Amino acid sequence: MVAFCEAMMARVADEPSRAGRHTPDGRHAPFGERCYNGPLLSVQGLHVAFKTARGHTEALTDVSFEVDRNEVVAVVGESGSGKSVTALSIMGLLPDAGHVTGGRINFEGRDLLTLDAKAMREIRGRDIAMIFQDPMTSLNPILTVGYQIAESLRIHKGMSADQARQRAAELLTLVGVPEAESRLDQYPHQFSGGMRQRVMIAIGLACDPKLIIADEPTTALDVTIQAQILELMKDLSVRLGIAMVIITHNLGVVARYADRVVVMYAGRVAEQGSAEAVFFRPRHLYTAGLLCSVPRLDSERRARLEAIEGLPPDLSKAQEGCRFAPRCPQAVAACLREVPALRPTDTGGLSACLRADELADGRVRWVGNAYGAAQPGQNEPAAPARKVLVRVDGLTRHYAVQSSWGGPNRTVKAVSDVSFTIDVGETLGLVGESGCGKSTVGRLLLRLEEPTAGRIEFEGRDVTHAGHGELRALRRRFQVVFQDPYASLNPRKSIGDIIAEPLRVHRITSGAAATRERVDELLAQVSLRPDLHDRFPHQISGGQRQRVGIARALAMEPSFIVCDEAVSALDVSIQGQIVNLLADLQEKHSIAYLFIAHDLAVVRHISTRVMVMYLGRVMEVASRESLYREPLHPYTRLLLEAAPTPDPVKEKQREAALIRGELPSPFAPPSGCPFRTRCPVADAECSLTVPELREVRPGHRVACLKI
Amino acid sequence: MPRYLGAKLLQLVLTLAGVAALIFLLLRVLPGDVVEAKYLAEGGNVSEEVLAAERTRLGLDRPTHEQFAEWMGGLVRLELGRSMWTGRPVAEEISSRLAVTMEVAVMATVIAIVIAVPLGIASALAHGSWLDQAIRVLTVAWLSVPAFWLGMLVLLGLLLVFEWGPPIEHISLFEDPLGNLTQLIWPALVVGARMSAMIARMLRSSLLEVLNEDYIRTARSKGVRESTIVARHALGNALLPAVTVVGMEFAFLLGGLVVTEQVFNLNGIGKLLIQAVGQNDFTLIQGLVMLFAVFFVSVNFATDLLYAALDPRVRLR
Amino acid sequence: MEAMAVPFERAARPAGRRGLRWLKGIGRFAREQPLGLASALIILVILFAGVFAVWVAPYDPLATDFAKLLLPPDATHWAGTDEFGRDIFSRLVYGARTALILGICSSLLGGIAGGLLGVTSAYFGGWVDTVLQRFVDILLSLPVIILALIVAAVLGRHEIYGIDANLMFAVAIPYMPKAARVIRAAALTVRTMPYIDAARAAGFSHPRIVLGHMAPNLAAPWLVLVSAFTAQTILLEAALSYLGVGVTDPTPSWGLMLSGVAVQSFSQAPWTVIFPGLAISLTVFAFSLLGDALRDTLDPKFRH
Repeated sequence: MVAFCEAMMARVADEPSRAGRHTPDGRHAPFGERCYNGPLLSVQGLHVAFKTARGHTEALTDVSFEVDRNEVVAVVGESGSGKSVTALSIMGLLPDAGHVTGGRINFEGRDLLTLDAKAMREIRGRDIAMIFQDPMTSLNPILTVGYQIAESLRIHKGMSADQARQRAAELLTLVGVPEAESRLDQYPHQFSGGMRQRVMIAIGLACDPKLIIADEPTTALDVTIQAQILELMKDLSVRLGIAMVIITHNLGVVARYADRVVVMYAGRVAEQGSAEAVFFRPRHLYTAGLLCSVPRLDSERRARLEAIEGLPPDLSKAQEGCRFAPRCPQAVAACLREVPALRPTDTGGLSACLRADELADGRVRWVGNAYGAAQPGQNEPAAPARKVLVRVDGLTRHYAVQSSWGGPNRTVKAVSDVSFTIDVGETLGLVGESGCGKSTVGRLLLRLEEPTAGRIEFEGRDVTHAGHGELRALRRRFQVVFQDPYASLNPRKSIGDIIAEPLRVHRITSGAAATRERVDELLAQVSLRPDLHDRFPHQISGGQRQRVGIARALAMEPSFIVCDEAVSALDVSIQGQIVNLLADLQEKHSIAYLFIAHDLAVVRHISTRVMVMYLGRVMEVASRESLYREPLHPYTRLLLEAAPTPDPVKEKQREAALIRGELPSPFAPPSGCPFRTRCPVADAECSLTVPELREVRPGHRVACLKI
Repeated sequence: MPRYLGAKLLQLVLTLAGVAALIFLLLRVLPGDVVEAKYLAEGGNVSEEVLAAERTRLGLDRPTHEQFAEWMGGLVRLELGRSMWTGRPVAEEISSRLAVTMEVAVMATVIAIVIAVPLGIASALAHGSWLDQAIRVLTVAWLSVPAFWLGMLVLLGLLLVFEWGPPIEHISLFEDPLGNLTQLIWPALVVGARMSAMIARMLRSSLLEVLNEDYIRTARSKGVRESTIVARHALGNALLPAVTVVGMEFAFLLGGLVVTEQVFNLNGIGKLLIQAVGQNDFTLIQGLVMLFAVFFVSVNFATDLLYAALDPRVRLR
Repeated sequence: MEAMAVPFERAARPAGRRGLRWLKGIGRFAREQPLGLASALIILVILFAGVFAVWVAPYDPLATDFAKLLLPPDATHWAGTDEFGRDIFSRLVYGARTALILGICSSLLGGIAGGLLGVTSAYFGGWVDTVLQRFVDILLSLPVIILALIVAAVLGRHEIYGIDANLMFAVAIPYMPKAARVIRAAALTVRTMPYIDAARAAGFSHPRIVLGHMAPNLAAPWLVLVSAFTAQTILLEAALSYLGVGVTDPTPSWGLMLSGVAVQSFSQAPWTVIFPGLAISLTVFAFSLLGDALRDTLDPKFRH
């Protein structure tokens, strides 16, 4: 019988269109009568509350969705939407402070919430497995990888140590870990991040589960590794007939891998439906807004990003009406009053938007803040009056790393021989994977670190070794905005103090009243209310904090700002707000930016020129149009292809273009071209010389021998 | 690894040289010397000539830098000199007392570990319950009781209940094991109980921290039993920092027994130090301080090695 | 009208908010840490007794009365009398003064010196860090009590307002390197925070960054450290006095009251031993609990 079901599952997996199967009336049983008939997993009216210092927080309210056998369901939402809490509730792994206050979680017809601890343990790992976000912390550092994989086999399958070991080796091979047999006895720290996530997947697959829940499985990984891991998961789920729930905030990932999508907002399901329906015919205004606010690589760049204004609600307070209504440009009085129920839509999905029908017949659509359509010319490089502001020549930074336990001291070549210029009022985008040296370049420019070699010119002056006094004056001219809005503001200082301190120290304003006035002015420039003046960083949201960071940088009236992953930690809807703010400020004050990021789409949106780095070296520099339209370096090309775009049709047709292998260790970079070990066109010649950055087309420079 | 060991050893030698210099300089600031303590303390009436002759004999009249050179030079040859009070070699004075102190220190550490490990684990596992609260408060209370007072109460109790007082003479472990045990078990208990409170607290907090780690959640998601999670997944990680704490506490015990030895009237090196300080016996104080420092750094070094052997992240790089 | 009202309101607000923040913090502490609150109250009572010893103590702590040798506790002498006929309760009350002054001052001294050493070491790094850390290593390689014992013996006595300042140093010195270690580790973490980079990028001076930006963020671990140190310094002072190198007669000190008593004699008059020991234990207990409670409130790592 099992064999029969598996055969059925394999067939079902091949069915091209499965949209609409989940609607209450339209469901048909995919399996023979002797199998359990309903959906594999059915979450019904789930409520979860958390006890916090500030009282009761309603993390999930009336969450319902289903997952069928063999299906890949994506749960999407921004931080605080409750998507991870949903996953942990299904697994029965909520932290102590959280508890389910209502609803049911049926798995193969059994309500998991009524099971005792022992019965639940038997389901975990055997029937439902989970893959967590951060592979660096999710594996036990003092147990061998082999033990950790074999453990569930021994618990659930009663295998002997030898049997389990053999199966563990098979599993490691299955997930693409080379030399599996010998790596069983290694410890997690001997694996790279991507390899560790493969081990996590092997653990998940160990007992042939029926369902795998993956909580942001690739968020902590680089784009190229992310693509490898996701392709692996997709491939395995199809081959082994495992249903998957992918929890993610990345709409590109959803488009590429999900059959169905559940969109969550502020602890509730906003909309659900087939991937095609949700992406092309969203029936909730939040979904529509979210899709508009993602910068994407596959369509024409617009002058401005759409952004959803405002902030998600505070769930520790009682909620009324539609939770999205306060941020919704199309909200009507009823939206603020009644809580919309999930109702079937014309696309075969479910939506909790009162105006879903109007969205369907086109009477209502998302109206963002993007001031109409694209305005060509705006935000383009300003006229030919090009004046170089920053010139960097042969910048190099090597670190000597003292090893505390054995081995000789090693050198990390964080940045090698990097040269570029930034013009007045332009934005140079700097992209690359983690460890490519992009942040170090920023820190060197800011003189937070001393270069090992090379030359930095600012406004025509050599500032590479500027002394204390000169540096102090220079600090007013170049400023910085950091990635982590939590850590970049001193938690012990009020917002007002944070912005006022540079004004006082550099005597930009004189007197308390003038300073106060200027601070309010700066707060207004970054669209913050002056009453935030006496608040402390922990009392405001992430997006607001990032605005304060920008206001602090603006206080000095700089002509150059380094934005070090300035929007990477923010949710999509907030990210759009900040990117637009940066663009506005640039136009107004003609500030030049070095915009460091790993998200290629965001970089394309904001930059006039783009530079790509790999292992401390520049691979390619070009104008935005040239680089994105005709990338020349094989690395840039693969990088652009690895990033999934939020378009389910395109994504599902596209062949996966994978950058093979892992990022080499920065301690031992390959000889010659650093990318040659992973490059599809590399040959023996590439290992001999480090390719020079040369101009292939006007303004388009590439470091590759094969172009 | 050999390179690391070399660097570490060099650092140890430097630290010890620093201690040697520091203690020498501290003592030369001390008002008075052994000669005064010996001849004038009891209101003795000794002529200046006798005192001067005595100082010459002990080399105390030589310039400080010469004395310093001699002291450091002696250390290099592993010679600690002779006690200024008794005239016997310092090494001999120390070695005759070392056995008692070492025995108490080892016994106390063993007792501490035996009590602390179950206590710490129970407290962490019952996190937030009345048991946890009780253990927390009791360990703090235990750490607040002065060791010498506790010792006095123990002696009082023994005297009142068993009418037994500690013998004045030291009973050798090899001649009379039982007698030796009954003599030393009480100070070891007093010191060990205190140390166990320290270790239990440490173990509790490190275990709580580990139980919040992501990899514990991973183990739960595999359906591993709670008892196995604690035993296989959590305890190993939590015990690692505890190894360092036990090592550190043990390393300090050699000198830290000063007060306990006084209370229980044990003729150990702590008591010897008190005596030497009272007599201004520079050479003996210097020798004892060097012993404490050498013991401390070598036990710490051993702990580091043990840690490295236990933690695969350090062992396999 | 409105234009006039606004600046006034603005000027008044920050102070009010900040005062409120402190009050709120204390309120939260009291609610979340009942044990911490209890220990704070015990410390206040002991502090009160020490400060107003003149009024609290029923007798002169130094007055001997050979007609009343070793009297057991009764209605007139609540804790009995000692071998010179002195009132033990009065000596305990005055002893609180000695213990608290020495304990708090030494831990503050050690905490401040060590804290500065640790922050400097972490902020500048490089050879400054190496030199300071080697120095700390040297001090740390000796047991606390040995270091204090020798320093106390070397420095001798130097009384200021009836308090032995040299003893204070002797007790403070072993805690300095401990504070340096802990604060350095915390400062190294703070040092890597982007807000410190932001301060450097803004061209602020070294003292402004160290004192204005790093120090406030180290206040929490420092406070926890000092309250734990206070408990330990009180114990250390008692031990030194017991060994005869700490407080000297006739100054009333809890440790000294236990010193030099033979077992045989205290089995005759156990109250001479029990009450001073209880006084030490209770005080140390209160400071330790307060330290724990502060750590639980201030250190996010312990806030489960």
